[in-house]
Amino acid sequence: MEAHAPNTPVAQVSGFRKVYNTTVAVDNLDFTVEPGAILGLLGPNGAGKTTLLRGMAGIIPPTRGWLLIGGHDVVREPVEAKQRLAYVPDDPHLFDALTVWEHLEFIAALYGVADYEPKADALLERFELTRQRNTMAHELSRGMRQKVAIACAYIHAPQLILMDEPMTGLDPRGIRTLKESITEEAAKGTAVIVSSHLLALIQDLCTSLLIIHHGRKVYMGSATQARSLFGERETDPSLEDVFFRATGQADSPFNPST
Amino acid sequence: MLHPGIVTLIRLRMKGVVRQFLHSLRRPRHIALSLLGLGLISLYLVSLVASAMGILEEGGSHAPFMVEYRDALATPAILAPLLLIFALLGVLLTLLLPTAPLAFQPNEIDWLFPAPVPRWQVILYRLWGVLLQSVVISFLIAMGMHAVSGNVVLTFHGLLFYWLCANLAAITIAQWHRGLGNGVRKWGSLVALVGGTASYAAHIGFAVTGGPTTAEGVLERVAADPIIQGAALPLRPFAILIFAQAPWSILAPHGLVCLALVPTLAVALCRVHEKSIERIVAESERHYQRLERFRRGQLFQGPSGSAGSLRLPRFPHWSGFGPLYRRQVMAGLRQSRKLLLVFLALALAGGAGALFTGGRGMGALGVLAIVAAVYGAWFLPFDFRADRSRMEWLRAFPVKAVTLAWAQTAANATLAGGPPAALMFVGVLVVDGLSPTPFVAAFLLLSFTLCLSAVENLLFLLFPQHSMFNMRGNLHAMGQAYALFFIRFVFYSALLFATSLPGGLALLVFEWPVFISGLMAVFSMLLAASGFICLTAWAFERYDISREIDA
Repeated sequence: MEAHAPNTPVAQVSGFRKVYNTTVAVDNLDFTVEPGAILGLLGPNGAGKTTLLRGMAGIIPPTRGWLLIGGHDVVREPVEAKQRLAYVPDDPHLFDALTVWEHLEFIAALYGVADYEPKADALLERFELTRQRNTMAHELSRGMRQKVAIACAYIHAPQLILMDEPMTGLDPRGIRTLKESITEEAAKGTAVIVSSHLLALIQDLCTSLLIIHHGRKVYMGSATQARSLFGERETDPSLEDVFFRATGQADSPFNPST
Repeated sequence: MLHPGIVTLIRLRMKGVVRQFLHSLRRPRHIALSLLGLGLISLYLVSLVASAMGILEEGGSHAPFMVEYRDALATPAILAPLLLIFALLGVLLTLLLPTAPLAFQPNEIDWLFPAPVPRWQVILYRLWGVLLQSVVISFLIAMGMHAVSGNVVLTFHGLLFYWLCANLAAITIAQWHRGLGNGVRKWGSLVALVGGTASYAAHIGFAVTGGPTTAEGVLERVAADPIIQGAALPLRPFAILIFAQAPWSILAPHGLVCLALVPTLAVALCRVHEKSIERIVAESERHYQRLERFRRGQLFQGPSGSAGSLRLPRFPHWSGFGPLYRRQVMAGLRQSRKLLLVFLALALAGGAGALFTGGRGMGALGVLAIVAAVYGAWFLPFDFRADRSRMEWLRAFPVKAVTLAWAQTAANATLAGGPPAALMFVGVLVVDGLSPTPFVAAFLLLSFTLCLSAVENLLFLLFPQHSMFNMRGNLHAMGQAYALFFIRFVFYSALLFATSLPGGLALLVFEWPVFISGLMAVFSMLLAASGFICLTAWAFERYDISREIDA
């Protein structure tokens, strides 16, 4: 796969709006993600996080706006855009009759990864799936299925990884492995967008935050900047305080982008 | 050329089906049930093929009408309008069904939609199933049609092309229709399609019923009618191919026309698909949720029902029976309300019919009520079958197993037996007037349904079965379904015989009043039901909660 030019955004979202019948799920969202960034996507239930990630993954088309992945519009040049991304859904549905290894084999074929076996082996080892290598998907626990989906996301070395609630079902060790792997991928230049309600994890992991509420951007920037903006009189507000204050003020005048 | 990823997926899924089959052969019981499933399928296929090859025909086993009018029937002019009618009905059915015409499974949405694969390739992948289904159906029909068709191979190809094109056309039109939104265009096009189909069917009906009434005359009129033949013209190549005789050269011109239609329709489908993708994703997700409920045996349970809209008053506790019974009845009323209303309407209509005919139709009414009770007990799952995923929860209740079994079974019997009992009550009331007999008749049916529900629960707890929707590559599940069907039949027959014996003897031998004989039958039924419910409680206690039922 072609290398991504440094300092060129991996993902550019501009004027993204998504309407379901009469419900506005996401409204006029603009942001960019640089290579190596780990963007924490925060928002209460129904804020539009999954819609945003599904739109960026090319699963649902935008009502309006542009979603560029590696400079390619996900609507007009879907194959080029999707070749550069990986998507881990919030509740990954695996193919029941396929084994863990066969999932990796299938994803490698889908993304044209020629010599995938050593990498697949390493991923199984890393996510403690080696013993489940030949286990069929329907015999796996929720956490195991999540690990398979994450391993599949890494196999083709994408430029952008979209993770929707990736920690669900993972045990503490699995969460630690995932955090380490995300940091390593970011160090290699891969951008990662992680949606999660686990604020402590976002605080530890992410280099920047995007907080959305009612489908609109409330804040985009670094966690430190968020603390100073939403911290009011507190000297060291937690991300939880920031989250509640930010989502309690959807039309926040603090939004630095406005 | 299909994308290598999709080819890999098809290959791995087929491999998975074979593996699942081999996995199912790990236990002797599974092997025996697989052999039963395989045996019954083989028997059916062998008889079909043997029939097609004329092995089983001695002196012609076909209906005389078919033999006599074989030449007149086996003409494209007669078949093409029929093919058109079937295709139009297929389109209407696809339009009206709540499921997406080209539904994707959630795993396909999760993995193929974000993948770098052109969408038309994903659609082709999904159509793979339609192709397989078309091959199987065409094969079976071609075998069955050998008496009127000329060449089984050509008939198979004609049917295959027709089936594929009819399916593709139905899916394309339904997709296009879903993309129209909810405005005038959507309803206008539906009215136009229904109107067109009805007009064409009515025109054929008038052509067939007017004029001479001989079979030859009717067939000649259909063949000569310009409107019937003109509308069916696009389907003529399929009809010609289906009835083609030995010359294989016929496969070239007509076969090519049919074959060319398949990719044309597939391209049209891909074009239309892009505009309705959002609806497809949403409908596919709903479809999957329905399938998941089917898998859990909750056939008639909606996703949420209309919670809160219907509440029953609190029942007395009765060692836990009251709350458990109330929960199931309320769930049933909320989630199968439409079905139960249909049953109740049928009961009222049956009563009105009995009144109108002065009780002459009581025999038929009684049979209808019994059949409804049997099907209700069989299919309505508001008992242990609906609680498949909640067994752990039920076990944790501070309630005796036998009380739990009574509550579960009685709730389903109320829902399944209530409307047929009402039907029976109204019918007998019309005939006998206000007397104890209608009440006894209704109670008899209710206790009969209680027995059946107890048997169904016992069978379910002893042999937790795979649903029909999880049988791919799972011959032992299929064999188990056949075996259970047989066991059920034997159980029901024995039950009916044993419980109606005392009442029957009282009525026929000792000539006691119907009321007394009926009461004896009710008591016999209740006694049998109590026995089965005790067995159900025992089966519930030994039920292995940790088992992977859908594995």
